Amino acid sequence: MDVLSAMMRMREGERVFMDETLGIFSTDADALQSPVELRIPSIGIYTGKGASHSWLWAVDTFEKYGLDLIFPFSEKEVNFIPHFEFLFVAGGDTFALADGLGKDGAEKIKKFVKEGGIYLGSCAGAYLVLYTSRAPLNLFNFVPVQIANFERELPPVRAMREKAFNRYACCFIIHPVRDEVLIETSPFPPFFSKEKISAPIFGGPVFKEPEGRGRVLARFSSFTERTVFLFDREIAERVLPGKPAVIEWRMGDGAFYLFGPHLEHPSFKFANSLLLKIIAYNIGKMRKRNSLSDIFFKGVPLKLPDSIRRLVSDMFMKAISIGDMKAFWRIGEKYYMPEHIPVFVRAIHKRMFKKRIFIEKEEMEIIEESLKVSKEILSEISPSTPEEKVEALISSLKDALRIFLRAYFRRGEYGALKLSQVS
Amino acid sequence: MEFWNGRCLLVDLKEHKVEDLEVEGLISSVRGGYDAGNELMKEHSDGEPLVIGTGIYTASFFPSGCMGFVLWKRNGKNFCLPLNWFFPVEFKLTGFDFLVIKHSSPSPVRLWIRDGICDILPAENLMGKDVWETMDFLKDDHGDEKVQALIAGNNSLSQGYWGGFDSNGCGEEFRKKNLKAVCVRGMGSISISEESFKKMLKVPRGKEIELNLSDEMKKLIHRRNACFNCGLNCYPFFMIEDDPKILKESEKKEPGFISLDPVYLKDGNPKVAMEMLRKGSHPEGLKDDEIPSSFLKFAGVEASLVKECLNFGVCPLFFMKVLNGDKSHFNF
Repeated sequence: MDVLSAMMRMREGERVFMDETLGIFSTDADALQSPVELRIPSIGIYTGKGASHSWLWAVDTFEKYGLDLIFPFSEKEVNFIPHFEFLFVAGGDTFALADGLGKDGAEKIKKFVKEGGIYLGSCAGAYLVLYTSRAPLNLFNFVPVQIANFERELPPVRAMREKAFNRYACCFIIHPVRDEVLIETSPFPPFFSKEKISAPIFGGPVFKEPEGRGRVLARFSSFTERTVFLFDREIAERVLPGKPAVIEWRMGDGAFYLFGPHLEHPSFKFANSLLLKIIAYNIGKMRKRNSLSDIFFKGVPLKLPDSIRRLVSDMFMKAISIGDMKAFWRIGEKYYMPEHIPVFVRAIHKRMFKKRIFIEKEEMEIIEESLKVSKEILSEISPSTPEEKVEALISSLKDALRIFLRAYFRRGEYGALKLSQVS
Repeated sequence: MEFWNGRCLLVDLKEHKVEDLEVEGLISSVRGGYDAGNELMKEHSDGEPLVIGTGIYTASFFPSGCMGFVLWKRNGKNFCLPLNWFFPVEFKLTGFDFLVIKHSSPSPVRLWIRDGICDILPAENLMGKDVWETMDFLKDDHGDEKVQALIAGNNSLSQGYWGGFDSNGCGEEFRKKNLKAVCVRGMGSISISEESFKKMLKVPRGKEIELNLSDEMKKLIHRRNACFNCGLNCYPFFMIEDDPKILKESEKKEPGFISLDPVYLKDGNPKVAMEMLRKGSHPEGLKDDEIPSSFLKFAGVEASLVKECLNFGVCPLFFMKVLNGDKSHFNF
């Protein structure tokens, strides 16, 4: 049984075990040499300042495979970090991530990992924790690994100039390719075997070789027909193949897992399997918690009212209809395009028919207010809409989503803490 | 419930109230959509109901699963207007299988249905507008080109811009109720098992049919169109204000038209046909046929077979031409 099937079966309520020496999965513990029972861990997902839309890919993928103890949190809520077992920081604007999380967030993340937590950093979430001298990123100097996609002079750009590079002081972080690439996994835990997997990269890091407490879990291998070259191919061939794409860096009782490609992208199921293997492997190594955090038990069971569903429905239609609009807006170091907006709205739209979610009245009010703000901006959006307005739109959508998804993934209401949720 | 939402929207235009009814039990007890629609007519007979409904395979992978209907009574007689094209599909994907409209509104209104929500909106501003102006307004107001609508025209009910088969008074029923339009946008989905999906893929899909048109009209054809999930491509777009041979989209605002009922073209004058479609004026006026005779002629079938096909939500023309009238294709 592969990890994807294992997770699906666990989602359906079966007991599933992983052999931590061989990396195989079974519902029969006796069939394995060193079985460890899998369970659903708590996963905090950062959605605040600097986070773009790729954290929603992680939500979709985790939900699909039954890892649905998900808690989205913002830069103002770093106090929640100790409640999680895994912390996922996805793509966006690295500087804005650092600015949002700040000193307090940095200290919380460091303590979290040292005490056994697992940090999963994808794209900007990976860049965030690499060593740098630049403030405020230097608050997050946790992983002393450098990047290989760094140039002192900018080569000629062939395509998509706005996505091809980021300035870094007097130099450039270049992104030689976008979309699908092949990566090759290393034949030891957590991946256990050498295989080539396709995964998408959208501006993520190409690492240099880690030393010390670091391991290379996968390397960039080659390109495919779907790979988009933003510079001359020879530059891509120089920068990527053979270089680390996924690395592990241990700190204290925990670890950082950093990926250049988006292993969480829901359209790449074999890339998802790598992410799930990292999680499954580390579940076995974690100290079992006695109870699930009470952040997953709140509110009362309610159906989303028509007023909210109406807002979401009308916004979804509008968001789809502007998907082809020729426009882009620069917010910080990140470029947003009209096609990004339906991603946010769809995340609520496809979940809003759930019969009951555990939610507080105040939370409903926050969702409705945030959606009203979003709808007003969205109804007038055009290529000439100022960046500040688009930023306000994204921000209000994220606010609504954060509160909604927390309620959606809650396990129960007040006082309903169930020990059966943890094995 | 496979193939169905199991829900019926009940709208009381007098009280301006909307209710969401569960109808799984009803659907399970009858042969299909048309029969369920008739049961709803009986159940709500106190309010001079209009029932808009869909069939079992409407919005599914079954080829030509595009059909719906409107039912009503006038002077004690039952009437049925078959609906094809895209409205029934878009309606079913809003989360409802049926819509029952009771009583009349004291002021002009329109219905806006999507994602399990129905709003009764004022329509005073639409009362002077023709069908095409109304459709333009609805698309703009709801911010989506893909909305579908039933619009009360001069003497008939129009499916969006392209008319329809109403020559038996459905548009008149809408006007009596002070109902200008029913506009829908379906963003949901229908539950279909993998087994049913695989069976549906094996149902013959047919191919483009020969059009019964004069040579003059054939010269005006820009492209062929089809109803939802149908391979017969019954509906040419007649380009009359631009060159039919152009490959790109015309820059003219109203370059031509599609006519869902071929009878609009009976006099062979495309400009006149376009004006009738714009105004919502069916060339056969108001007749007393239970099912419009022009639809029976279009599909080439008797009324009883139309009703059977409306149970399944499948086009009767497709059923005869491609499936050779073989009902075993409906067994899932």
